[in-house]
Amino acid sequence: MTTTPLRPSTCDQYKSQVKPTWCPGCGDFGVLKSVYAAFAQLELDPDNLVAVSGIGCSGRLPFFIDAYGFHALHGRALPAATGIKLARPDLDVIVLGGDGDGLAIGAGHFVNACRRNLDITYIILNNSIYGLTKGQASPTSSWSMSTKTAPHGSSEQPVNPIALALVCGATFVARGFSSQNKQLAELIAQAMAHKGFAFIEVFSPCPTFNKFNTYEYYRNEIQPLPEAHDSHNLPDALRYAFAPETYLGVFYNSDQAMLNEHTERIKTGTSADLETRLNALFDSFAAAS
Amino acid sequence: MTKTSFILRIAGESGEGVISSSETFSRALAKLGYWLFTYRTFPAEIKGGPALFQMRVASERLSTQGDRLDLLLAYNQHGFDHNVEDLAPSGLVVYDSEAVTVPSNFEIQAVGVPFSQIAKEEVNFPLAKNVVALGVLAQFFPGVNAFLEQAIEKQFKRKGEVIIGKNQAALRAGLRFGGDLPTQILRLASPKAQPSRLVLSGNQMIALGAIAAGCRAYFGYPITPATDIMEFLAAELPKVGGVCQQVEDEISAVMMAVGASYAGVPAMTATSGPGLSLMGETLGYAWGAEIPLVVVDSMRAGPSTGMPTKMEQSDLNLALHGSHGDAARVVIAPTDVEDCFWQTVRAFQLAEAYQLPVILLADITLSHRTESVIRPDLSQVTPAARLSYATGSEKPYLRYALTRSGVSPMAIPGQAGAHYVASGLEHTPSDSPCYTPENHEAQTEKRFRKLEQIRAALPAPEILGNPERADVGLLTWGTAWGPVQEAVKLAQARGHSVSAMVLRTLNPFPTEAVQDYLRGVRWAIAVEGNFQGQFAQLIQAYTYREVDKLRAYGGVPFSVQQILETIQAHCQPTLSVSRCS
Repeated sequence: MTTTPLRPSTCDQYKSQVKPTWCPGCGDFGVLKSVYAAFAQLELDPDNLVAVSGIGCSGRLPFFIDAYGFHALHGRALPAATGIKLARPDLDVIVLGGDGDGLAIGAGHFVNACRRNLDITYIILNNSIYGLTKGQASPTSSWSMSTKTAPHGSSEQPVNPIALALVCGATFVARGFSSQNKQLAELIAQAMAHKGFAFIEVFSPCPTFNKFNTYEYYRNEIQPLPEAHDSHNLPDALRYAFAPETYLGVFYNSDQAMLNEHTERIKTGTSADLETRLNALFDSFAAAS
Repeated sequence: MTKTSFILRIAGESGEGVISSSETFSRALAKLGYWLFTYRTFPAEIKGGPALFQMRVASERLSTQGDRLDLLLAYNQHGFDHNVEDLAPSGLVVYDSEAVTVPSNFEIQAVGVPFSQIAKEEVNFPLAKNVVALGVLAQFFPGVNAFLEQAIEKQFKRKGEVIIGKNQAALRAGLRFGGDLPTQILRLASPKAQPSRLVLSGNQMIALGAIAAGCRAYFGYPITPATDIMEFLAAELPKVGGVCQQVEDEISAVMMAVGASYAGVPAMTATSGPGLSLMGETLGYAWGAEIPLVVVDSMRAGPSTGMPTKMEQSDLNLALHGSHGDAARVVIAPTDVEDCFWQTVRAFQLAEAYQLPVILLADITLSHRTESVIRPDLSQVTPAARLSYATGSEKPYLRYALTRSGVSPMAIPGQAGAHYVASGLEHTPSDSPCYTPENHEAQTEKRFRKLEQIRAALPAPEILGNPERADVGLLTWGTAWGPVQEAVKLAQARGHSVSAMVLRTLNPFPTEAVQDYLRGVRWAIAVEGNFQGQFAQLIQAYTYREVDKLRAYGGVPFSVQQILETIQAHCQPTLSVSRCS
């Protein structure tokens, strides 16, 4: 991360004039609060910050952040962020999206963004439902959960986002809960400080359309990862990802070569070399030897 | 017989070096000082199936690969059987006598050469049969052998002196081959003095044009026939400070290009029809969010996977209309390899100046063929320029301000006081999502004002001949312009009253110029490489004038003869009572 803090930051500094339009009780409010807090903790320069999202309830997040924003197409937040970061490695890029956006229509990008290991942070606000289209099954909906498009119960296994990120090569993998703002802000700050592709799954309940994965459900399910867990240990991280218990915290954290370090390293010239380079290329195609 | 242009076709099995050895030979001919125009086609499989390479050389500039072969080199029976019908009556076949049986009633001159046997017995290197063949062909072009020797040295440098030596020996063995080669009856006139000329492919020229125009970010997914644009830029963009990345699919490639452009770096992706189909949604995004973008579509035969290595101009409708909603894009079609450079530069200039997507419609013949071209004069290149936001110049900053031109200053991340969200949602002048009728109308009109600005400033379409009172006026676009030009010149030489117009910009459509042109000609014929007559429909939609259609939709480009026959048929006196007049 290359941010230069201009002045001491406060959460308010990152709040835009636009007020969220989410339903009362939506988990996304808590995530947004934690995002502001993480920015403030890191003293990020909002001029140098780009918040990218896809389509869905969480897709509106960039409008609520006073920084640069890119509200992409459904499922295409990661490609947009990848283009931004590869073109401008100097920018801080955070991607925010839903479980349908990132794990159904955009799942192919998720797999490849993990293995590409760009220096960006990706947060999936997981409510296990399609909220904006009013209550259809999502890729993280529980098996047998009944929805409008699966009135007899979902007959598909939910995807395990943490395990998926781990096997695809993400170099920072964590899970948080929208009600635990302090812990979540800390996770987001760690993810943004991490050099490489950082992924956080956040449980963000939808009180309107998901009557199964409620706040109470999560409170009963979740527990912090054991303190003894070594987050540099990938097999252990996978074991916790697949455990019957639902853990929160940092599953995995490792330093690997980042793609944008590579793309910067192989640059042997600049636009100042344009004419020389073009003439050399024309010479190489010259008809006469 | 001394000819002004010479057409040579080499036909054999794909994967046996037919294309690469032909490429070597054609470049050597260009080094002799001839103008060169090539055409190649091969199956979609890497090995197996018929491959074909045609090269035409002349002392004058060429616009097609030519119809009638002066010399056919056939490596196998299929290559013989399927190509002899294209020979000129005065032509010659050189064939592999170990692989080809010539029918007893064959009337054209044919000479058998045991290429493999020569390679085996004289050089002890059976792999070099293609090189032996090049040696035999070189007998028709005095002086070319020196350039072939250089090419062999360069090509096999990595494999060491022994291999170079064996290939040179194979070349000499071919040159020595006596037989009864009628080298004197097929002589090409000596080339004239050489201007500064390059030999390269359309894809290479597109990549060079992109670099020259300021493209510094490229994202792509491999697809025939666009892939070598990415291969070229992967090597070259980092040398001028740019980035090139192969990515997971075309949807991400185009969205990454949009992301890079949003961040201030001119960006491009290249694909073919299947990829362009996938990019439709993002093209609409770039139109709505007003983000400069250049997409190259090198067309191939469809529908669906179609014939991935064959020719068609059938993506016109997709390029023009392939997005939902009131979304448009500029569509530009280069006509030849040299034009690829200038139209790519222009694509970037328009994309950046007007903050919209531009599609460059090339095709497989243009992407893959090599041609002699005049070296582009870099002093004529105006780099693409964006109307950028001067920090602090507006308070508050309105990204989508309703300007008269439709273009509003574009801030990029890093600038103070200009935070905004790019979005596919309809937005107010600032950037906020907004669904009121007044706002949607105003923003829609703003976006389309940009297109009208471009239309008003379009260069006049190129016209060949005098359209005033012409019996026949051909209208065309893209690479069909090559055979159209040649056919029109031939028809004019035969006394026919014919002219032709080519459109390099398909959207915005140059309505007035086409209307004016149509007023002059008696028979208007749209010439294009697709079944539906997509271009003819476009002309009719804008001018309300019905035009005849001449179409090629078999996967091969137009022949000059085909166009000439159509011109002649329309010039017959029996047709002079015209329903188009």
